[in-house]
Amino acid sequence: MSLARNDLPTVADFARTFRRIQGEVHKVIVGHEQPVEELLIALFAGGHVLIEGVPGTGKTMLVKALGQALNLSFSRIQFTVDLMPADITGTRIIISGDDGRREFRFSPGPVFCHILLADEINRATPKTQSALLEAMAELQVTVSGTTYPLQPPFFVMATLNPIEMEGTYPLPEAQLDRFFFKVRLNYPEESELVRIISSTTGPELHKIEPIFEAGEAAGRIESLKHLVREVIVAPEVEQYAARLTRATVPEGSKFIINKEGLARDEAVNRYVSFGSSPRGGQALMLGAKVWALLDGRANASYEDIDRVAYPALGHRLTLNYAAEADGVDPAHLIQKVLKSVRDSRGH
Amino acid sequence: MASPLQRRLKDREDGLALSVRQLVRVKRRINLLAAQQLAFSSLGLLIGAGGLLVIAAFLLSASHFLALGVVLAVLLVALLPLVAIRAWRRFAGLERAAAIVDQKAELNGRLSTILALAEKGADRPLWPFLVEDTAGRLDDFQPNRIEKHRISRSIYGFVAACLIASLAGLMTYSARRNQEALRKFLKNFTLQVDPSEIAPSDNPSDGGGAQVEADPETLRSLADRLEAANQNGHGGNRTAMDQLAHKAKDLASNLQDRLTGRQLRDTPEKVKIRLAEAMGDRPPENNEPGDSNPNPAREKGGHSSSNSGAGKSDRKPNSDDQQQADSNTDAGPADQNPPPNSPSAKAFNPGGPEGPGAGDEPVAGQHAGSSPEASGQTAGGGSDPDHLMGPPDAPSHKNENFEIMIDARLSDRSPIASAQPYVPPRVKTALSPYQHPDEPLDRGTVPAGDRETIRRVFER
Repeated sequence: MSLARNDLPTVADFARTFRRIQGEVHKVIVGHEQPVEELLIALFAGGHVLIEGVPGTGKTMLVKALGQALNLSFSRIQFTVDLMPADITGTRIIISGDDGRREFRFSPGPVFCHILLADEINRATPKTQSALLEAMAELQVTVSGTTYPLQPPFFVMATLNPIEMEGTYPLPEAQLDRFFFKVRLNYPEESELVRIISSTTGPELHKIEPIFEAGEAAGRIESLKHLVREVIVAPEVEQYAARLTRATVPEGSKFIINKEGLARDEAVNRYVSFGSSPRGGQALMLGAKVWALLDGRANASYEDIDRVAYPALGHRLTLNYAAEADGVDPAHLIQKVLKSVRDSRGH
Repeated sequence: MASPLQRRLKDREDGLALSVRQLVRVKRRINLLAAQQLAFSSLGLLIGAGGLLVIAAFLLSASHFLALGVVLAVLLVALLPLVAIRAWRRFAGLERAAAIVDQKAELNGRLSTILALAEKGADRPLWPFLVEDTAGRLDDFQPNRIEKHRISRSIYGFVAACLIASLAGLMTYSARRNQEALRKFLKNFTLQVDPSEIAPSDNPSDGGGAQVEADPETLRSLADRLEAANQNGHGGNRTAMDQLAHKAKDLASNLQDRLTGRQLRDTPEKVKIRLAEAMGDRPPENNEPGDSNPNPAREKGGHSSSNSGAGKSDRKPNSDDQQQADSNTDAGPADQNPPPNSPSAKAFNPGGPEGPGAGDEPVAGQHAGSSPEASGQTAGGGSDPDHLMGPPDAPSHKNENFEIMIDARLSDRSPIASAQPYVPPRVKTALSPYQHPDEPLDRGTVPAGDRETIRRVFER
């Protein structure tokens, strides 16, 4: 979809809309400012989000609130071990017509919506999980040889429960890589907890006002997403994003031909099995562009890229057993990568 | 030189042209400061090091001066390239200037992006917004906001270096003035010196600075002591490293003298030193180092005098005329016109090629004299019990004199008040094997004719 130059919203429109949505979501979500911000960045960058958090931290509530604020269609799938791919994509069913004839008709699954909540995605089998792959990457679903397009915007928010890991199926790397950001929801602080308790146990519950009219929401969001892609990036900044992505790849990787620009940090070589894919670089750049618009700029800067480095790259690093044994987490490694690339840039 | 972009924007007044022009001004200021830093730092280092060296020449001993000189030289060699590289790195092109402006004015890459995409960014929908947004922040990146100073802060270092150099200049000027005063003073000055206080000089270049008058026996005794000291200085197992260190020290000493104006060789007037009484300091019979050195405290000085020409003094002058000729030839320009009151019966300059040596001892025939004063001094020279009676052929050349290299340092009581006084080191000396501590000597029979002489010696 391309928009004429005059149809593009302005930078100020973008920032204003973004902040309004954020405000509406925070009517029901107390705290979690950074996760909400990252969620919206991923939405406007055209990506999908994996939300990790312990039960009761507001994952489902967050997704619902977002759907209501955007005034978009919303579906929720609770992933379980016996969930089948057809339960997600839909299936062909036999329908009896008025004339008594029976025919197969496609019955769309819950994936046919704008905002999809895949709750506890790691509880479904890999086969079912991978049913989402096509929808997430290509915005289409193929059932019985027929391809059905999804209506943009299509935004998947999958949640991961880090406890009760028994009987779960960790997401394959290929599917992890399709998530634009991985957002972590931590326990609320005491003051936030007080606000949560008081706001959810009183007689009046906060009601979310939709930002867009029902018919225009999808179009408005798509135009804002288009504006994000128009943000101007200097070649040096693009090179910085590429260097950052490449610096997550360990030197010993057998999938490397030219080792120039690979990880200089020893920790990466020691603890990382596989670094970020090019999708990580794309996420860095698109996330940086959204940040630039939020800051009222038409250009992305180094700082914008640094801001989105962790949610964009953290889940794309496959750590080895040494990292697990030493208790090294991706955030630590990304800090090291940022530092080494910044130093090489001369800052 | 203007870049293609600057030339293209020369006559335009839009946001892009304004921003680039302002950026060029910022770049000029950055480069001006970088040039100042390069100049001030380099000059400051050189001037400061030079000033410190001159001040050190006044305040430090030769060895410390040498050490400081080496340290300063190493520091200069190490720091000058560093300073130059650091200043050179501050020079900025347009791209680097834009990056600096983005950082200091918190423009978040606006200027860098404009500059990078000025040629091809015009067709992007957000390009006009970016240009106007940047142009609206012209005030944020005024040159005086990006670089507040017009003068590099490295000027402080330069000023400090100049102050050090000024101090050094003042000290040098003061020393030169005092040198002039000394010259005037020395014209009519004769110093009465006890010969026992004389030691070989540390610095051979001091040799031309004094003219000594004394009776021949005293002079001969001094010459013997000088020779002994020189031999002790030379006699050790000096390694090549020692010799190198020695040469370096001499070089440092000469440089020090030149810097401080203490170069007495340049002083036409010599200090006239009259050795009041001759002592019985016999030269050591055994010249092995550390064995019977008559004055170990001076031995240190004897090392330095090894270059004084003593090694070349094996010539044995056969006549007074020959020695006189040698003296006039080798004493340097200052000796070409000896002072009118300088006795010239015999001149001896240890600083020259005819330095003190075994060959400088006058032959016996020349020492024959009849003056009672001279003979008395000769007898007095034998305070050693073995020579109480004095040598039978005691010389009596009352008017003999020669120039001798002495360690005549400037003291704080001298006309050069700023000079460092020379304090001879305290050294415990082993007794001569011929002396017995605290035991009275047996009285022998003294010839009646010599009693008066002996009494006078012991009274002294």
